[in-house]
Formats: sequence, C-alpha cells, structure tokens
Amino acid sequence: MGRITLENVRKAFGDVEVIPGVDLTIEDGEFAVFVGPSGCGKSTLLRLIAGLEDVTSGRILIDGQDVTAAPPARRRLAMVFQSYALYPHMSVRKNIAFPLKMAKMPEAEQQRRVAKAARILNLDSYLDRRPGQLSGGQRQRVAIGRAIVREPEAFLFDEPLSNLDAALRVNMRVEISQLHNNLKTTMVYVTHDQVEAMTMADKIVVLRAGRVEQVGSPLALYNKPANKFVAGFIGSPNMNFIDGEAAARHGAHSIGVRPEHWRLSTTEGAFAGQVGVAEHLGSDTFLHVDLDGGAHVIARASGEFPVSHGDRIWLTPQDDRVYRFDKQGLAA
Amino acid sequence: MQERSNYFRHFMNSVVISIGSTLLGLLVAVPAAWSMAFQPTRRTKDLLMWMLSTKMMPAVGVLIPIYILFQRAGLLDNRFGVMVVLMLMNLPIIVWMLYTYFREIPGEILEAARMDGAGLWNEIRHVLTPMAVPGIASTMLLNIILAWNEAFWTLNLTASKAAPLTAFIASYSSPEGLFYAKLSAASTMAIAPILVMGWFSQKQLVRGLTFGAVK
Repeated sequence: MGRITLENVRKAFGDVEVIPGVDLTIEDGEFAVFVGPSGCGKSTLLRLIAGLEDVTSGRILIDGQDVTAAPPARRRLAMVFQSYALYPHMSVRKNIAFPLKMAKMPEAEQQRRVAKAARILNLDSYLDRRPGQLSGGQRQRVAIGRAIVREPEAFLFDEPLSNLDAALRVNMRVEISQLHNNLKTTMVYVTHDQVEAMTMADKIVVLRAGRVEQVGSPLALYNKPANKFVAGFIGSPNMNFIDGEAAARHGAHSIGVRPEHWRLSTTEGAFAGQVGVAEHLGSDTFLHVDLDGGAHVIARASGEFPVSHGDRIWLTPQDDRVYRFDKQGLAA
Repeated sequence: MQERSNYFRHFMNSVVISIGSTLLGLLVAVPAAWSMAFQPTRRTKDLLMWMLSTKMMPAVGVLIPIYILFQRAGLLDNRFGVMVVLMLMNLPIIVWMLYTYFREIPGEILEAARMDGAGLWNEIRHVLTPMAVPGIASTMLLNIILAWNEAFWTLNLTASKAAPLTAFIASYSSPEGLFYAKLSAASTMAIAPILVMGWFSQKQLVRGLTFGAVK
C-alpha cells in the first residue's frame, strides 16, 4: 500500500513562503506527476514527502500514518535523484545492495534481491563496475535498481531524465512506465517537461508558485484546463491565446486555440495572417503565423502542407475546440 | 649522540605526539567540518573565519595561562598534554581543509544515503569518509608534518620524558655553547624521517593543498 496524503502542507525558507498550503492525495498504485515551470516548488514538495525537508506546518500521511516528523528512512519511500546520486566508491552491486545492508538484511537475501533488480533493469553484466565506468542511462538504471530492491511503498523521482540525451530520455520514459505497470507501486514523479507528464502520468498535478493549479488525468487537463496557466502549460506546442474583439465574439475575455485545432486554408477563414516561420518536421509542419490583428499564433499542419515563409494563410478554430477564459484567466 | 641524549626516545615521542595529535584532531574536526559543510547556519562563515583568526594570534600570548593550567592538571612533560595542545593549535587548519573537501561532495549523495536508511553514523562511515579519503589523507599528512616540526609548545611544555625531536635539537644549544657539528647532525636526524615521508607523499600533499583552488 502506498497512499500519500498531504494536508495543508506549508513550507517556508525564512521569510520566503515556497509552498503556501497544499492539500493532495495520491492513491495507492497511482503514477502522479508534479509538473510546473522552474521554481514552482515541485521539487520542494517531493522533498517534503521524502522527509529531506521539514514541513513548516501541515501533515503528511502515508497509508493513514502520520510521518510528518519521521526521518526519511522511516517513511518506506525510495527516491531517484536527478544527478543519480550513486556512491562513486562502490560497485554497482554494492550500490544496489546499500539500502538492504542498512536494513541489516541477511547477505543471501541481499544478493537475491540485487540479482532480481539487475535482471529487471538489464544490469547483469555491469554489477562489478563502478558508477564512473557507466554511461548516463546505465547510471540512471542503477539508481532505479537501488530504489526497487527496497520494495518501497512509493517511488519518488526528482527529474530523473533531465541529464540524459533526447533519444535515451524517450527510452527511459518507456522503461519507467513499464516498471510502474509491472510493480504497480505508487510513483511520484517531478518534471518540468510536460511531454513526460502527459505520457507517463495517471494523474498530473500542475503547480505554480507553490500552489496546485489543477489535478487530473492528462486528457482531462488537456481537454478541460481550469485556467489559462494550465491551458498554456499542457500541450505542445503551447496553446495560442487571442484577446480583444475576436475573443468577445466567442463571449469571452480571452480565447485559447491549440495549434492542432486550427482549420487551415490558403484562401479563406476567420483569421488571416502571414507565415513567419514554417518548421517542417516531416510528420507535421508547425507554422508560426503573424495574424493581421498583431497576434502571433502557432498552427500545426500536415507534413506536406505547401506553405513557406511570407505566404498568406487563413486560420479558423474548430468550433468545439475553442477554450474560453474570463478576465481572471479562469475557464468560462 | 645516542650516548649523550637518547635519540630513539625523542623519536618515539615525536611519532606518538604527531600521530596522536592528528588522530585526536580528526576525531573533532570530521564532525565539525561535516556540520559546517552540510548543515551550515548563518554564522558558519563567521565561525570559520574566527577559527582561522586564532592562528593569527602569537602563540606566546597564551603560553602562561596554558602553562599554569597544565601545571595544575599535572600535564607538564606529558605526551598526552602536548598532543592536546598541538591538536588545538592545528585544529583550525584541519577543519578548514576537511570543510573544503566535504563541500566538494554533492549533497544529493548524502541525501540518497539518508533515503536508503543510513543514520548519521552510517552516512559518515559508509559514504562520506570513503569519498573523502584522499582529502582526509592529505589533511593527516600535513598535520603530522606540522606537529612534527612544532617547536614552541614542545619546548615549553616538555623537559625530558615527553620531549620530542625538537627538544633533542635544542639540547645542543646550551649555556655551555653551541655545538654546531652535533647540532647539525641532530637536526638532520630529526628532519630525516619527515623528509622521507614527505617525499613519498608529495603528490598527495600537493593535491591536498591545491584542492578546490581550481574548478
């Protein structure tokens, strides 16, 4: 079991309040992703759950048990750090066995669990190497191995893929998702990359300035963002916002249209503009369009869409795909 | 020379005092440097500066109070007494060096150890110390050399029983006159062991002294 509950958790460093008060429940077996821009407090929130930072006020419960004052080791959680945080003087085998050694587990059981973790993570042939002799992806696997041998109540990941190159990141993303499917253990994952959040999460928690802006499944956040911030953060490329008269026609202070929700034409449409940059990715083409009214929007077109820099283009939002926001930026 | 004054007794005193004061110093300095490096407070920098500033004070300024304290405690001409004084004198340097080393160790590794169930003692024993071995080794070497060559306190607080090699050299400069030949021979014999040790460990020492100087 690994149900994590935060009750009005606050954190301040001196006079600076980083987390003004968060209430949140992560269900047993759930893959929850904390996402938000740099400095939004997502890592701090994870460290509060881990016990690496003390809460200023509020309570943290794991399976109904109050662990607010418990040291990290007593919380039965395992953490994977951004920098891997492997012990450089120990072999891979010793790195993975370290938490078991600390728990004074019999040697035979330690070896059995290390072998099992190594098999799951394809680390069998590297067990006697030192971390310095491994590649970034292998190091990250060792860090995950060290976490899984403990059979914790929940895994905490602090931006574990941000030190990897793009291709490896995609692989590791899939591996972590598969690991979650196999182990069915609660995972809390921090990232600033909304693609990671969308692809991995059962539940996304969007944070801004220490506040929870919205909690929901990836598609719920994509389809029904609670406010402009969430609407702009979820989805890639970002949602386009148009204010003024055009928005008023839709009965809103501001409207949002995702790049993939424009109907494009070279002859007619609701908004006319000029193509600034056309990014041909092969599968898609992203058009950066300067509208006649002065707004700048991005539109996604098919890979073969025949436009280039300087061409005139007309865009019409799909009717059921226009997001309306009021003056405060809340979904209307 | 061996007839006139017992070289080996002085040599053993030097060995015991320099190694003893170094080990005693590490015992105090490792936890001190750990807390300053990993649990710093607003006053940590001031504390470090203050510790270093004590090295700027002439030692003779505290000679009389320490002499009287030692006399009352029965520590005059006592190896342990000299060890304690030398440890205290070199402590700022040991703490500074270890602090610099510890600062180079990423905090996340220690946090990982904490998550893995290591208490403070296991964290220091299994993670911090093995990672800081090169730093601790060069700190030890430097401190042994400093303690070996220390003359002011050893001359003032010892007479015969606990007198190290510095006192052995000084004994050839007596009211009866300076015995240059013997003085030179004694000096050579006094510095020979530490010179040999320094020669073999020079790589480690240079690394220790320049550590953290260049990123």
